[in-house]
Amino acid sequence: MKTPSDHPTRRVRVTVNGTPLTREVECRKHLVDFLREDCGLKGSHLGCEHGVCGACTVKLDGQIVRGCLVLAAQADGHRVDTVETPNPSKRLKALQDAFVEHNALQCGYCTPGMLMAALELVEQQPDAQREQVREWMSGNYCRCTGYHAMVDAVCAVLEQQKAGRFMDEPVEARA
Amino acid sequence: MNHPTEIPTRRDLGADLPAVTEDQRHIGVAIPREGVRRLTQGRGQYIDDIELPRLVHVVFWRSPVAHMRITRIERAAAQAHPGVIAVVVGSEIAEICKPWVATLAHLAGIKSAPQYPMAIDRATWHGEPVVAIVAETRAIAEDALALLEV
Repeated sequence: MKTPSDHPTRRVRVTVNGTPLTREVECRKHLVDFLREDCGLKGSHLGCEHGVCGACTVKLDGQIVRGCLVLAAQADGHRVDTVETPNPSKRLKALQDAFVEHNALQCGYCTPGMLMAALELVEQQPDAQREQVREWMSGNYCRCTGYHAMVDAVCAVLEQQKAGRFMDEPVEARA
Repeated sequence: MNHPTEIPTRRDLGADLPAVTEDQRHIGVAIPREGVRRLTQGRGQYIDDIELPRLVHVVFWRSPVAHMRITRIERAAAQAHPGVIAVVVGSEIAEICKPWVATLAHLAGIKSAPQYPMAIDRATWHGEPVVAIVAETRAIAEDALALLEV
């Protein structure tokens, strides 16, 4: 049915959550569609599909990207990490716990993207103040709860970090 | 009616319980939500996450303006696109789906204008669905969207 010239495909090798995967995908396929449809990882969500809502935020080589603005082909040879990772870092686990504790989610649709964004903040800006947390998280939309509880949760984890809770798990240097 | 003095001391159920609870366990205490942790681990299941056998995808051509007359819909090219299963317009879906009419239980006779699933002859709000395209994948359906002429 498909005409190969219309939709060229490409073999993509990606390490997803630590597991090396090889998939034949259309060149035009977005990273988040690749994760959801070809890798079976439905945890990253689609909200707006044009980079506004942040629901599809995932890590590409340790740096957060919009899964809807990156092509699967661009991730070829790289490492992708999502919220479903079977070996969450201590910081990610602490964020998940803090989100639950502070009731920072209602329907949970935006939560995976929120957590990935928050994780990068905790890793890269350990001294962030509440205002900076708000600014940082402003790239992710939530349509249920409002944002105060999320900011509370992220600030709580930043405090834990300052108290040395993640000392044994240093942040890996950016490429 | 909820004043403690007005609550009957005997009830049909739980007659042995005091009318007003003296159980203080839950007062002023945050109750952890059940089933919320999995949502933080990407293990929720939303409608878009469900994959069923013979699942197909629908996309809509929506009105780009707040009000428009629909004079002609050219859909042959979209229909002929490989992987497209159906291209449906408002009058066709109206044959199998009755319009929604909202009524008010407390104001007899008050009801909304009939709201059809998709626009017929004219669209009356920005984003109103005008044409539905069903295809094997969302990407194919969106490809076919570009072949429509409305």
